[in-house]
Amino acid sequence: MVSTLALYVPVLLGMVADWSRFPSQSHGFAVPAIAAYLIWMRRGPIASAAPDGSRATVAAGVAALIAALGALVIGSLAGETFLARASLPVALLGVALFVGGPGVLRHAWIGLAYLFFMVPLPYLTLKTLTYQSRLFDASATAAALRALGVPVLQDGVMLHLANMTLEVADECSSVPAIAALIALGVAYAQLHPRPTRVKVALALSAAPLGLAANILRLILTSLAAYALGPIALGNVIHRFGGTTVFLATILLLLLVDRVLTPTGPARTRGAARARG
Amino acid sequence: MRARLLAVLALLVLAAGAIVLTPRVRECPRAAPLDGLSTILAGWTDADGIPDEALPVDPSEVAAVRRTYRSGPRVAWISVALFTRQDDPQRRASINRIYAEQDVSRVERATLPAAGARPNAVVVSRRDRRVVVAYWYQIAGRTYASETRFRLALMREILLARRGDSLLARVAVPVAPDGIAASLASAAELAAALRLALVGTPGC
Repeated sequence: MVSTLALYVPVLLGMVADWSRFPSQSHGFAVPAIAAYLIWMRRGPIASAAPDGSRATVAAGVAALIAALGALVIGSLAGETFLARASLPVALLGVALFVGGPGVLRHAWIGLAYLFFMVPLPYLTLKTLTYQSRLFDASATAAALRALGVPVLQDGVMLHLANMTLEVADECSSVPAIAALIALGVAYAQLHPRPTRVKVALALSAAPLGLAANILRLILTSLAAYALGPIALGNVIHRFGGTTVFLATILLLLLVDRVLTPTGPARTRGAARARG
Repeated sequence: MRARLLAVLALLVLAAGAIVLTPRVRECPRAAPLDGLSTILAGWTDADGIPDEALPVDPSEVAAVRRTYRSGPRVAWISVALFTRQDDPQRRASINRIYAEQDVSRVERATLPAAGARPNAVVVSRRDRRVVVAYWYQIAGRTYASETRFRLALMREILLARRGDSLLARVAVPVAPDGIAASLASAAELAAALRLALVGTPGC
Protein backbone atom coordinates (compact mmCIF):
# COMPACT_ATOMS: atom_id res chain seq x y z
CA MET A 1 0.00 0.00 0.00
CA VAL A 2 2.78 2.41 0.97
CA SER A 3 4.78 1.80 -2.22
CA THR A 4 1.58 2.25 -4.26
CA LEU A 5 0.97 5.59 -2.58
CA ALA A 6 4.60 6.57 -3.19
CA LEU A 7 4.12 6.05 -6.93
CA TYR A 8 1.09 8.31 -6.75
CA VAL A 9 2.84 11.21 -4.98
CA PRO A 10 2.75 13.55 -8.04
CA VAL A 11 -0.93 12.70 -8.60
CA LEU A 12 -1.74 13.32 -4.92
CA LEU A 13 0.13 16.64 -4.94
CA GLY A 14 -1.88 17.73 -7.97
CA MET A 15 -5.11 16.84 -6.19
CA VAL A 16 -4.06 18.70 -3.05
CA ALA A 17 -3.37 21.76 -5.20
CA ASP A 18 -6.87 21.54 -6.70
CA TRP A 19 -8.50 21.05 -3.28
CA SER A 20 -6.72 24.20 -2.09
CA ARG A 21 -7.48 26.26 -5.18
CA PHE A 22 -11.17 25.43 -5.66
CA PRO A 23 -13.47 25.77 -2.63
CA SER A 24 -15.95 23.36 -4.23
CA GLN A 25 -13.25 20.65 -4.13
CA SER A 26 -12.04 21.35 -0.62
CA HIS A 27 -13.93 18.35 0.80
CA GLY A 28 -11.07 16.34 -0.78
CA PHE A 29 -8.98 17.09 2.30
CA ALA A 30 -11.47 15.26 4.50
CA VAL A 31 -11.93 12.22 2.26
CA PRO A 32 -8.61 10.41 3.00
CA ALA A 33 -9.17 10.89 6.74
CA ILE A 34 -12.72 9.51 6.53
CA ALA A 35 -11.50 6.62 4.34
CA ALA A 36 -8.79 5.82 6.91
CA TYR A 37 -11.38 5.94 9.69
CA LEU A 38 -13.73 3.61 7.77
CA ILE A 39 -10.87 1.10 7.44
CA TRP A 40 -9.81 1.62 11.08
CA MET A 41 -13.36 0.81 12.18
CA ARG A 42 -13.01 -2.57 10.49
CA ARG A 43 -9.41 -3.26 11.49
CA GLY A 44 -10.39 -6.33 13.54
CA PRO A 45 -12.12 -8.27 10.73
CA ILE A 46 -9.43 -7.13 8.26
CA ALA A 47 -6.60 -8.42 10.46
CA SER A 48 -8.33 -11.74 11.08
CA ALA A 49 -9.37 -12.37 7.46
CA ALA A 50 -7.84 -15.55 6.13
CA PRO A 51 -5.62 -15.08 3.05
CA ASP A 52 -6.95 -16.73 -0.10
CA GLY A 53 -4.52 -18.07 -2.66
CA SER A 54 -7.04 -19.18 -5.25
CA ARG A 55 -6.13 -18.59 -8.87
CA ALA A 56 -9.28 -16.53 -9.50
CA THR A 57 -8.47 -14.15 -6.64
CA VAL A 58 -4.89 -13.68 -7.82
CA ALA A 59 -6.01 -13.09 -11.40
CA ALA A 60 -8.69 -10.57 -10.41
CA GLY A 61 -6.33 -8.68 -8.11
CA VAL A 62 -3.53 -8.53 -10.67
CA ALA A 63 -5.96 -7.52 -13.43
CA ALA A 64 -7.30 -4.64 -11.33
CA LEU A 65 -3.79 -3.49 -10.41
CA ILE A 66 -2.51 -3.68 -13.99
CA ALA A 67 -5.58 -1.80 -15.29
CA ALA A 68 -5.08 0.90 -12.66
CA LEU A 69 -1.37 1.27 -13.34
CA GLY A 70 -2.07 1.36 -17.09
CA ALA A 71 -4.54 4.18 -16.49
CA LEU A 72 -1.95 5.95 -14.33
CA VAL A 73 0.71 5.71 -17.04
CA ILE A 74 -1.65 6.87 -19.80
CA GLY A 75 -3.10 9.63 -17.65
CA SER A 76 0.34 10.86 -16.56
CA LEU A 77 1.87 10.84 -20.03
CA ALA A 78 -1.15 12.37 -21.78
CA GLY A 79 -1.97 14.87 -19.06
CA GLU A 80 -5.39 13.31 -18.43
CA THR A 81 -5.46 14.04 -14.74
CA PHE A 82 -8.86 12.46 -14.03
CA LEU A 83 -7.72 9.13 -15.47
CA ALA A 84 -4.53 9.16 -13.40
CA ARG A 85 -6.32 10.24 -10.23
CA ALA A 86 -9.23 7.82 -10.50
CA SER A 87 -6.78 4.94 -10.92
CA LEU A 88 -5.55 5.31 -7.31
CA PRO A 89 -8.56 3.73 -5.53
CA VAL A 90 -8.64 0.98 -8.19
CA ALA A 91 -4.94 0.25 -7.61
CA LEU A 92 -5.48 0.05 -3.83
CA LEU A 93 -8.49 -2.24 -4.28
CA GLY A 94 -6.38 -4.41 -6.59
CA VAL A 95 -3.54 -4.60 -4.06
CA ALA A 96 -5.99 -5.46 -1.26
CA LEU A 97 -7.49 -8.29 -3.31
CA PHE A 98 -4.18 -9.58 -4.67
CA VAL A 99 -2.25 -9.49 -1.40
CA GLY A 100 -4.98 -9.88 1.21
CA GLY A 101 -7.61 -11.86 -0.65
CA PRO A 102 -11.39 -11.53 -0.74
CA GLY A 103 -11.64 -11.63 3.07
CA VAL A 104 -9.63 -8.41 3.40
CA LEU A 105 -11.37 -6.79 0.44
CA ARG A 106 -14.82 -7.54 1.89
CA HIS A 107 -14.07 -5.33 4.90
CA ALA A 108 -11.67 -2.81 3.36
CA TRP A 109 -13.47 -2.00 0.11
CA ILE A 110 -15.74 0.69 1.50
CA GLY A 111 -12.80 2.67 2.86
CA LEU A 112 -10.71 2.25 -0.29
CA ALA A 113 -13.59 2.94 -2.68
CA TYR A 114 -14.48 6.01 -0.61
CA LEU A 115 -11.28 7.59 -1.98
CA PHE A 116 -13.11 8.10 -5.30
CA PHE A 117 -14.82 11.05 -3.65
CA MET A 118 -11.54 12.94 -3.41
CA VAL A 119 -11.10 12.86 -7.20
CA PRO A 120 -12.47 16.02 -8.85
CA LEU A 121 -14.79 15.29 -11.79
CA PRO A 122 -13.43 15.96 -15.29
CA TYR A 123 -13.83 19.67 -15.91
CA LEU A 124 -15.74 19.16 -19.16
CA THR A 125 -18.38 17.09 -17.34
CA LEU A 126 -18.45 19.47 -14.39
CA LYS A 127 -18.92 22.51 -16.63
CA THR A 128 -21.81 20.95 -18.56
CA LEU A 129 -23.54 19.78 -15.38
CA THR A 130 -22.97 23.13 -13.69
CA TYR A 131 -24.58 25.10 -16.52
CA GLN A 132 -27.62 22.79 -16.60
CA SER A 133 -27.87 23.06 -12.82
CA ARG A 134 -27.73 26.87 -13.00
CA LEU A 135 -30.64 26.88 -15.45
CA PHE A 136 -32.62 24.46 -13.28
CA ASP A 137 -31.89 26.38 -10.08
CA ALA A 138 -32.87 29.67 -11.75
CA SER A 139 -36.14 28.18 -13.08
CA ALA A 140 -37.06 26.65 -9.72
CA THR A 141 -36.24 29.90 -7.89
CA ALA A 142 -38.26 31.97 -10.40
CA ALA A 143 -41.24 29.62 -10.05
CA ALA A 144 -41.07 29.82 -6.25
CA LEU A 145 -40.80 33.62 -6.30
CA ARG A 146 -43.84 33.89 -8.59
CA ALA A 147 -45.77 31.59 -6.28
CA LEU A 148 -44.85 33.90 -3.40
CA GLY A 149 -46.13 36.91 -5.33
CA VAL A 150 -42.74 38.40 -6.21
CA PRO A 151 -42.62 39.71 -9.81
CA VAL A 152 -39.63 38.16 -11.59
CA LEU A 153 -38.52 37.72 -15.19
CA GLN A 154 -36.20 34.79 -15.82
CA ASP A 155 -33.77 35.03 -18.73
CA GLY A 156 -31.64 31.90 -18.68
CA VAL A 157 -29.53 32.12 -15.53
CA MET A 158 -30.54 35.75 -14.88
CA LEU A 159 -33.38 36.65 -12.55
CA HIS A 160 -34.67 40.17 -13.18
CA LEU A 161 -36.43 41.48 -10.08
CA ALA A 162 -38.22 44.81 -9.98
CA ASN A 163 -35.27 46.47 -8.25
CA MET A 164 -32.23 44.49 -9.41
CA THR A 165 -30.92 41.60 -11.49
CA LEU A 166 -29.48 38.46 -9.92
CA GLU A 167 -27.30 35.93 -11.68
CA VAL A 168 -27.25 32.28 -10.63
CA ALA A 169 -23.49 32.04 -11.07
CA ASP A 170 -21.32 28.92 -11.22
CA GLU A 171 -20.60 29.11 -7.50
CA CYS A 172 -24.35 29.46 -6.79
CA SER A 173 -25.23 26.24 -8.63
CA SER A 174 -25.82 23.01 -6.77
CA VAL A 175 -23.42 20.87 -8.78
CA PRO A 176 -20.08 21.85 -7.19
CA ALA A 177 -21.52 20.86 -3.82
CA ILE A 178 -23.07 17.60 -5.00
CA ALA A 179 -19.85 15.55 -4.89
CA ALA A 180 -19.14 16.78 -1.37
CA LEU A 181 -22.70 16.06 -0.29
CA ILE A 182 -22.70 12.53 -1.72
CA ALA A 183 -19.40 11.91 0.08
CA LEU A 184 -20.99 13.25 3.23
CA GLY A 185 -24.06 11.02 2.79
CA VAL A 186 -21.97 7.89 2.27
CA ALA A 187 -19.75 8.66 5.28
CA TYR A 188 -22.74 9.45 7.47
CA ALA A 189 -24.45 6.21 6.44
CA GLN A 190 -21.33 4.21 7.34
CA LEU A 191 -20.64 5.79 10.71
CA HIS A 192 -23.24 3.82 12.62
CA PRO A 193 -24.50 0.29 12.09
CA ARG A 194 -27.76 0.47 10.14
CA PRO A 195 -29.76 -1.80 7.87
CA THR A 196 -28.28 -1.75 4.35
CA ARG A 197 -31.44 -0.25 2.80
CA VAL A 198 -31.16 2.73 5.17
CA LYS A 199 -27.47 3.17 4.31
CA VAL A 200 -28.28 3.18 0.60
CA ALA A 201 -31.20 5.57 1.08
CA LEU A 202 -29.06 7.99 3.11
CA ALA A 203 -26.25 7.90 0.56
CA LEU A 204 -28.67 8.48 -2.33
CA SER A 205 -30.65 11.20 -0.59
CA ALA A 206 -27.68 13.49 0.08
CA ALA A 207 -27.54 14.88 -3.47
CA PRO A 208 -31.26 15.75 -3.85
CA LEU A 209 -31.28 17.15 -0.32
CA GLY A 210 -28.31 19.34 -1.21
CA LEU A 211 -30.08 20.48 -4.37
CA ALA A 212 -33.20 21.36 -2.38
CA ALA A 213 -31.15 23.17 0.27
CA ASN A 214 -29.36 25.22 -2.39
CA ILE A 215 -32.61 26.21 -4.12
CA LEU A 216 -34.02 27.23 -0.75
CA ARG A 217 -30.92 29.39 -0.21
CA LEU A 218 -31.41 31.02 -3.63
CA ILE A 219 -35.07 31.72 -2.88
CA LEU A 220 -34.24 33.30 0.49
CA THR A 221 -31.46 35.37 -1.08
CA SER A 222 -33.78 36.56 -3.88
CA LEU A 223 -36.52 37.45 -1.41
CA ALA A 224 -34.04 39.41 0.68
CA ALA A 225 -32.72 41.17 -2.45
CA TYR A 226 -36.28 42.04 -3.49
CA ALA A 227 -37.10 43.42 -0.05
CA LEU A 228 -33.81 45.11 0.87
CA GLY A 229 -31.92 45.64 -2.41
CA PRO A 230 -28.22 44.91 -3.11
CA ILE A 231 -27.32 45.11 0.59
CA ALA A 232 -29.02 41.73 1.01
CA LEU A 233 -26.32 40.05 -1.08
CA GLY A 234 -23.87 40.67 1.75
CA ASN A 235 -25.90 38.55 4.14
CA VAL A 236 -24.67 35.40 5.77
CA ILE A 237 -26.84 33.01 3.73
CA HIS A 238 -25.50 34.33 0.41
CA ARG A 239 -21.86 34.97 1.34
CA PHE A 240 -21.37 31.64 3.05
CA GLY A 241 -23.49 29.74 0.55
CA GLY A 242 -21.50 26.51 0.63
CA THR A 243 -21.51 26.33 4.42
CA THR A 244 -25.22 27.14 4.56
CA VAL A 245 -26.06 24.37 2.09
CA PHE A 246 -23.75 21.94 3.89
CA LEU A 247 -25.34 22.59 7.29
CA ALA A 248 -28.86 22.47 5.89
CA THR A 249 -28.09 19.16 4.17
CA ILE A 250 -26.74 17.67 7.40
CA LEU A 251 -29.94 18.66 9.18
CA LEU A 252 -32.06 17.17 6.39
CA LEU A 253 -29.96 13.98 6.47
CA LEU A 254 -30.54 13.66 10.20
CA LEU A 255 -34.24 14.08 9.55
CA VAL A 256 -34.26 11.41 6.82
CA ASP A 257 -32.27 9.10 9.11
CA ARG A 258 -34.81 9.66 11.87
CA VAL A 259 -37.68 8.84 9.53
CA LEU A 260 -36.08 5.79 7.92
CA THR A 261 -34.45 4.17 10.93
CA PRO A 262 -36.87 2.39 13.26
CA THR A 263 -36.74 3.66 16.84
CA GLY A 264 -36.60 1.77 20.14
CA PRO A 265 -36.07 -1.98 20.22
CA ALA A 266 -36.62 -2.33 16.48
CA ARG A 267 -33.80 0.15 15.83
CA THR A 268 -31.51 -1.79 18.11
CA ARG A 269 -32.40 -5.08 16.39
CA GLY A 270 -31.78 -3.50 12.97
CA ALA A 271 -28.45 -2.18 14.17
CA ALA A 272 -27.53 -5.56 15.57
CA ARG A 273 -28.40 -7.23 12.26
CA ALA A 274 -26.36 -4.68 10.35
CA ARG A 275 -23.44 -5.22 12.72
CA GLY A 276 -23.68 -8.96 12.35
CA MET B 1 2.41 -13.37 0.69
CA ARG B 2 6.04 -12.30 0.19
CA ALA B 3 5.96 -13.32 -3.48
CA ARG B 4 2.80 -11.32 -4.02
CA LEU B 5 4.28 -8.23 -2.38
CA LEU B 6 7.33 -8.55 -4.65
CA ALA B 7 5.02 -8.89 -7.67
CA VAL B 8 3.19 -5.70 -6.65
CA LEU B 9 6.51 -3.91 -6.23
CA ALA B 10 7.65 -5.07 -9.66
CA LEU B 11 4.46 -3.75 -11.27
CA LEU B 12 4.87 -0.41 -9.51
CA VAL B 13 8.48 -0.13 -10.68
CA LEU B 14 7.40 -0.94 -14.24
CA ALA B 15 4.74 1.78 -14.13
CA ALA B 16 7.18 4.31 -12.68
CA GLY B 17 9.72 3.39 -15.36
CA ALA B 18 7.16 3.85 -18.12
CA ILE B 19 6.30 7.31 -16.80
CA VAL B 20 9.86 8.48 -16.22
CA LEU B 21 11.62 6.95 -19.23
CA THR B 22 9.13 7.80 -21.98
CA PRO B 23 10.54 10.62 -24.15
CA ARG B 24 9.07 14.05 -23.53
CA VAL B 25 6.50 15.49 -25.87
CA ARG B 26 8.25 17.59 -28.51
CA GLU B 27 7.83 21.33 -28.51
CA CYS B 28 6.43 22.83 -31.69
CA PRO B 29 9.55 23.63 -33.78
CA ARG B 30 8.03 26.75 -35.32
CA ALA B 31 4.84 28.74 -35.06
CA ALA B 32 2.21 27.66 -37.52
CA PRO B 33 1.95 29.74 -40.68
CA LEU B 34 -1.39 31.05 -39.51
CA ASP B 35 -0.76 34.50 -40.93
CA GLY B 36 -0.82 32.87 -44.34
CA LEU B 37 -4.54 32.31 -43.97
CA SER B 38 -6.27 33.77 -47.01
CA THR B 39 -7.65 37.25 -46.61
CA ILE B 40 -10.59 36.32 -48.83
CA LEU B 41 -12.78 33.41 -47.76
CA ALA B 42 -15.82 32.58 -49.91
CA GLY B 43 -16.27 36.21 -50.82
CA TRP B 44 -15.66 37.49 -47.29
CA THR B 45 -12.74 39.94 -47.04
CA ASP B 46 -10.77 40.65 -43.91
CA ALA B 47 -9.65 43.49 -41.70
CA ASP B 48 -7.31 42.69 -38.80
CA GLY B 49 -8.40 42.58 -35.20
CA ILE B 50 -11.57 41.61 -33.39
CA PRO B 51 -13.08 42.62 -30.08
CA ASP B 52 -11.92 40.31 -27.27
CA GLU B 53 -15.45 40.07 -25.95
CA ALA B 54 -16.57 38.39 -29.18
CA LEU B 55 -13.95 35.63 -29.11
CA PRO B 56 -11.84 35.65 -25.93
CA VAL B 57 -8.06 35.27 -26.12
CA ASP B 58 -6.71 32.13 -24.46
CA PRO B 59 -3.42 32.76 -22.61
CA SER B 60 -2.29 29.24 -23.53
CA GLU B 61 -2.32 29.87 -27.27
CA VAL B 62 1.14 29.93 -28.84
CA ALA B 63 0.15 31.67 -32.07
CA ALA B 64 -3.12 33.00 -33.38
CA VAL B 65 -4.72 34.90 -36.17
CA ARG B 66 -7.77 36.99 -35.31
CA ARG B 67 -9.63 38.82 -38.01
CA THR B 68 -12.85 40.57 -38.86
CA TYR B 69 -14.34 39.45 -42.18
CA ARG B 70 -17.01 41.36 -44.05
CA SER B 71 -19.31 40.49 -46.90
CA GLY B 72 -21.54 43.39 -47.85
CA PRO B 73 -23.41 44.42 -44.72
CA ARG B 74 -22.57 41.14 -42.99
CA VAL B 75 -19.78 40.98 -40.43
CA ALA B 76 -18.09 37.99 -38.80
CA TRP B 77 -15.09 37.42 -36.58
CA ILE B 78 -12.72 34.49 -36.83
CA SER B 79 -9.95 33.23 -34.61
CA VAL B 80 -7.54 30.38 -35.33
CA ALA B 81 -5.22 29.58 -32.43
CA LEU B 82 -2.38 27.10 -32.10
CA PHE B 83 -1.85 25.17 -28.86
CA THR B 84 1.25 23.06 -28.28
CA ARG B 85 2.64 20.65 -25.65
CA GLN B 86 -0.86 19.82 -24.48
CA ASP B 87 0.36 16.91 -22.39
CA ASP B 88 0.54 19.72 -19.85
CA PRO B 89 -3.09 20.47 -18.93
CA GLN B 90 -2.13 24.10 -18.26
CA ARG B 91 -1.26 24.56 -21.94
CA ARG B 92 -4.52 23.23 -23.34
CA ALA B 93 -7.22 25.26 -25.02
CA SER B 94 -9.56 26.22 -22.20
CA ILE B 95 -13.23 25.38 -22.67
CA ASN B 96 -13.94 28.50 -20.63
CA ARG B 97 -12.49 30.75 -23.34
CA ILE B 98 -14.20 29.48 -26.46
CA TYR B 99 -16.87 32.17 -26.20
CA ALA B 100 -17.48 35.02 -23.77
CA GLU B 101 -18.93 33.82 -20.46
CA GLN B 102 -19.04 37.03 -18.43
CA ASP B 103 -22.60 38.35 -17.92
CA VAL B 104 -23.96 35.65 -20.21
CA SER B 105 -27.57 34.77 -19.49
CA ARG B 106 -27.96 31.84 -21.85
CA VAL B 107 -25.86 29.49 -24.00
CA GLU B 108 -27.93 27.44 -26.42
CA ARG B 109 -26.73 24.68 -28.71
CA ALA B 110 -27.46 25.41 -32.36
CA THR B 111 -27.16 23.49 -35.62
CA LEU B 112 -25.57 25.14 -38.60
CA PRO B 113 -27.43 24.68 -41.90
CA ALA B 114 -24.55 22.89 -43.57
CA ALA B 115 -24.16 19.53 -45.21
CA GLY B 116 -21.50 17.08 -44.10
CA ALA B 117 -19.38 17.49 -41.00
CA ARG B 118 -20.75 20.33 -38.89
CA PRO B 119 -18.77 22.28 -36.34
CA ASN B 120 -20.09 22.89 -32.83
CA ALA B 121 -22.36 25.91 -32.69
CA VAL B 122 -23.82 27.85 -29.80
CA VAL B 123 -25.87 30.99 -29.51
CA VAL B 124 -24.56 33.13 -26.67
CA SER B 125 -26.98 35.67 -25.17
CA ARG B 126 -25.26 38.48 -23.35
CA ARG B 127 -27.22 41.46 -22.11
CA ASP B 128 -29.10 42.67 -25.20
CA ARG B 129 -26.72 41.02 -27.71
CA ARG B 130 -26.64 37.55 -29.20
CA VAL B 131 -23.75 35.96 -31.05
CA VAL B 132 -23.52 32.68 -32.96
CA VAL B 133 -20.19 30.97 -32.28
CA ALA B 134 -19.11 27.99 -34.38
CA TYR B 135 -15.93 26.17 -33.41
CA TRP B 136 -13.92 23.04 -33.99
CA TYR B 137 -10.51 21.54 -33.32
CA GLN B 138 -7.91 20.39 -35.78
CA ILE B 139 -5.03 17.96 -35.33
CA ALA B 140 -2.69 17.52 -38.27
CA GLY B 141 -5.35 18.16 -40.90
CA ARG B 142 -8.13 16.19 -39.17
CA THR B 143 -11.01 18.20 -37.71
CA TYR B 144 -13.07 17.41 -34.63
CA ALA B 145 -16.32 19.02 -33.56
CA SER B 146 -16.85 16.80 -30.52
CA GLU B 147 -14.84 17.82 -27.49
CA THR B 148 -14.63 14.20 -26.34
CA ARG B 149 -13.41 12.89 -29.71
CA PHE B 150 -10.87 15.68 -29.83
CA ARG B 151 -9.55 14.79 -26.37
CA LEU B 152 -9.29 11.12 -27.33
CA ALA B 153 -7.50 11.99 -30.58
CA LEU B 154 -5.16 14.33 -28.71
CA MET B 155 -4.42 11.59 -26.16
CA ARG B 156 -3.61 9.17 -28.98
CA GLU B 157 -1.37 11.77 -30.64
CA ILE B 158 0.46 12.47 -27.38
CA LEU B 159 0.94 8.80 -26.50
CA LEU B 160 1.89 7.45 -29.90
CA ALA B 161 3.52 10.36 -31.73
CA ARG B 162 4.62 12.33 -28.63
CA ARG B 163 3.13 15.44 -30.21
CA GLY B 164 0.55 17.60 -28.53
CA ASP B 165 -0.33 20.30 -31.07
CA SER B 166 -3.77 21.34 -32.23
CA LEU B 167 -5.66 24.27 -33.67
CA LEU B 168 -8.86 25.78 -32.32
CA ALA B 169 -10.85 27.51 -35.05
CA ARG B 170 -13.77 29.78 -34.16
CA VAL B 171 -16.23 31.83 -36.17
CA ALA B 172 -18.52 34.35 -34.48
CA VAL B 173 -21.41 36.12 -36.15
CA PRO B 174 -23.57 38.68 -34.34
CA VAL B 175 -27.27 37.86 -34.51
CA ALA B 176 -29.00 40.47 -36.63
CA PRO B 177 -32.33 41.96 -35.57
CA ASP B 178 -34.03 40.17 -38.47
CA GLY B 179 -33.46 36.78 -36.93
CA ILE B 180 -31.03 34.03 -36.17
CA ALA B 181 -31.41 32.02 -39.39
CA ALA B 182 -29.36 34.50 -41.42
CA SER B 183 -26.61 34.52 -38.77
CA LEU B 184 -26.46 30.73 -38.67
CA ALA B 185 -26.25 30.68 -42.49
CA SER B 186 -23.40 33.23 -42.42
CA ALA B 187 -21.54 31.25 -39.76
CA ALA B 188 -21.96 28.03 -41.76
CA GLU B 189 -20.73 29.70 -44.96
CA LEU B 190 -17.63 31.16 -43.35
CA ALA B 191 -16.92 28.06 -41.26
CA ALA B 192 -16.96 25.87 -44.37
CA ALA B 193 -14.55 28.21 -46.17
CA LEU B 194 -12.27 28.40 -43.12
CA ARG B 195 -12.20 24.62 -42.74
CA LEU B 196 -11.13 24.28 -46.37
CA ALA B 197 -8.46 26.94 -45.92
CA LEU B 198 -7.11 25.21 -42.80
CA VAL B 199 -6.91 21.69 -44.21
CA GLY B 200 -3.34 22.30 -45.32
CA THR B 201 -2.38 23.91 -42.02
CA PRO B 202 -1.20 21.12 -39.76
CA GLY B 203 -0.23 23.48 -36.97
CA CYS B 204 3.46 22.77 -36.58
